[in-house]
Amino acid sequence: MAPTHISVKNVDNGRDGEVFTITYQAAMQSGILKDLISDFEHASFDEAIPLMGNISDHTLGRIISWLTIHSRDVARITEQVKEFLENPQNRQPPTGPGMDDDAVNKALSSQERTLVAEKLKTLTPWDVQFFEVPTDEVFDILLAANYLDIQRLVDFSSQTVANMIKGKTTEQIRDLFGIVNDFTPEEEDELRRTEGWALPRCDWTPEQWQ
Amino acid sequence: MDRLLADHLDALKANVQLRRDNLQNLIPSLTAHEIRELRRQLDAVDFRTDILARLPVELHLLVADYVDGADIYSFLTVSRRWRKIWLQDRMRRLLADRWLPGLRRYTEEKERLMGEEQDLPAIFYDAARRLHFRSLGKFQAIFVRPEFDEVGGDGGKGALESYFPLDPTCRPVKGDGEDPWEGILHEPPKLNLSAWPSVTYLYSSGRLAWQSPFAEPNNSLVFVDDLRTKLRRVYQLPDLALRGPNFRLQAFGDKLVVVSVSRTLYAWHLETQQLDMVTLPIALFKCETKGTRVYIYNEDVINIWAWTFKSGLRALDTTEMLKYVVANFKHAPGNLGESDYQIGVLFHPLVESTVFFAIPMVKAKAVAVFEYKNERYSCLFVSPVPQTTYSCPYAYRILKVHVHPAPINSYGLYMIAAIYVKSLDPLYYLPPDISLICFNTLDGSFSSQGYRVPSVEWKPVLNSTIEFTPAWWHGQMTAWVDLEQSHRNEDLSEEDAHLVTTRELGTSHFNSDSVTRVWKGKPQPGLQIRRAEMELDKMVEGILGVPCSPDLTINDVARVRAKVTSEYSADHVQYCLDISGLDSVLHNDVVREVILDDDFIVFLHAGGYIIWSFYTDTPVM
Repeated sequence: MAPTHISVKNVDNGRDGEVFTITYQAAMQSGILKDLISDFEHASFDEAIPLMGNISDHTLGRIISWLTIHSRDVARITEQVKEFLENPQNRQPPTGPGMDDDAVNKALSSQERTLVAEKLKTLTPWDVQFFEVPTDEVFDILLAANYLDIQRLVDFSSQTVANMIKGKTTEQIRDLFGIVNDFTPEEEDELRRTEGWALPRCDWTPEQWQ
Repeated sequence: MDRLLADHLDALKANVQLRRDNLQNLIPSLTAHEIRELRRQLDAVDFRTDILARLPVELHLLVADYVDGADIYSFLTVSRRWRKIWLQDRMRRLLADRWLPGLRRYTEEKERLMGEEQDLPAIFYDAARRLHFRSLGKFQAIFVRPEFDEVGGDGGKGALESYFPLDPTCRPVKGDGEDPWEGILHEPPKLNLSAWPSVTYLYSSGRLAWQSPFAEPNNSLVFVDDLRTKLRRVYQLPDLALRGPNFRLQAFGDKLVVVSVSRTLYAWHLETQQLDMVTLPIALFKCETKGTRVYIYNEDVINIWAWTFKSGLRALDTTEMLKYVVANFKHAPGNLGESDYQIGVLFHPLVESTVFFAIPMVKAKAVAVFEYKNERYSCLFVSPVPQTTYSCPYAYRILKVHVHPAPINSYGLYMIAAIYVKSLDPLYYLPPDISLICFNTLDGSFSSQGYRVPSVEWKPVLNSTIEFTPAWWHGQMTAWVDLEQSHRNEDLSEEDAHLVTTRELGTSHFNSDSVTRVWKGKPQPGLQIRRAEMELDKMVEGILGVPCSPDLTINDVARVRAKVTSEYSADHVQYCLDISGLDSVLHNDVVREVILDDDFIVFLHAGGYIIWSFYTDTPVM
């Protein structure tokens, strides 16, 4: 019988980290935890599952909170989509009189799958806030999520990183990540030549013309 | 003694809870001054880290999944490490598949046909770089038809040389005197005022062809302006007897310029400058050319000829096409006459001898595409019935199938037709829905894109006629929707309305929220780039970072009071054609055509043209 709650702790570096407890359902989002739990089906889950992977307690705590918040997402979103599709106006392609039931059901279930997959990939406002942390923490979460095989969290973190750099200029990106420009002046000239006239030399602001 | 507290804390290493509690218990014992000092020091700690540089490679690709192809240009110059990350072959392949769909198929096909290995990452890099320049609105030059606005004392001859100088390597007749036009223009050249200013311009791959605006016998000249080299060539029939009122510029392609005199076609090869001619058995209808082939066809589909330069004329077997036309049009619903269908010609991007003819099938709500290889019928593709974007469960009917092929990218993808669908929903008077049918000439596959004319502004509409003119290149589209409608209230007043809608680079769906402008009255096309209004010459200087070279004739542009209304923001770049300042060159307010390719945006209107050049000869890295 599956346990109702799972405890985990970090044991890397030969020390015992803080013990976190989450519901079974929440833990199932992590590929590693899922494997561990099914491997030790008959073991007692009173003891915390030891985790390697050099995850700091702080990061583990954040990930646990993410898992808890998102534990019921699949069921909830599927329900929402089903409700949304109750309304024939939202169906794609439209179903109307004259279509046979099989065709309607087929079209509906495929649309439902796409919509659910799309929604599961979308960052919620909670997630946006979750990632409003210094860049080193985002990095830690991304690495830990990758280690724990939490596909959605890896996806969300990648999206967050992409959103950070999207549409930014070179200078802004350096500033954001604290990167030092390690090109020599000669290399920069070369870049400017090969990359044509799209480089900052021509980056003017509208204010210049007012 | 100075590490007393720190040593105690170190001793607690294993026990996180104790460390935290100890630190928190420390705070009440600190003085306000100490807390302030600590806060100052802690604030100075830099928590930034170069996430990407520290990530394993497979996670780079995950991040790349969410960035725009055009964004990578700023990434490339961040640091050496970043440059390496974003120039990985795998990364460029991934971005290519995502942002330039069709490119992979095209390079594979090219490899197969030409036997040369294609460097997909490098090709992607070059293509994406061009798109990036365009999405930023960083054009290199702008050409506005300035000639003949003020005819000088020399009958306009001077104007012919002022904008694009004559190409010295291409002078049909070498005169002895100083006048470059000796032997080309007959004295005195006079503008043909009835035909001017509506001169036909034909655009193809960076060149613009147009017929002489002068009256007989100076009308039988064809000018070809090369927008890359900014040089003009002139072509003239050798036989004086042929120069007459029947001289017409007919077709223009990447290799041939085709003119007609009555039933005889003449073609010049743009590279070899050779001339070839052929006489048609019956009167000419339409012709199209690509490479060294010219296809002459008429709308009844019975007669289609293929003329290969220097290899004679050949009639195509159109039996298969006729079957379809008969099945679809002879007994079509009463609102459709035979004259309502057009055929469109599509060319294979790599194989010159392969050509496609698209014919609308109104009854079947589809488009038929006939493939001909080496002048022989090869096979038939029929588009699937498009899904309407109507969400209402009511029936709909097809208003019309408008065939007008235009390439969407240089990898063989064409937009071939627009299918107008009308909802029969009794509750709403919705404007028609439009399905754009695309055809990939490389693999014969179809795709369709729904476009819904926003209805919010137009309710209640009793009747509407609609003309949809899209200009589509890669992920970016600008479309005019000319909507003529009768309102239910206001005594059935009629109103013309024009919409310009744009779609962002890289998004796969139209969003009716992205409608940018609604004009009551005439459309005002132009180029919208940045959020500032400025004189064009200043802007060109600003964008290029160099003073304008004199041959851009910015003064001419300024003379027509060109102002570019511009708008730019990082995540939403639009080409909204807007030339409100260019009224004086819009003689009939008619937008003829917008043609897009990798290097140019060509805007042809009744009074001439405006061309934005994004051409650069900077080598691929």
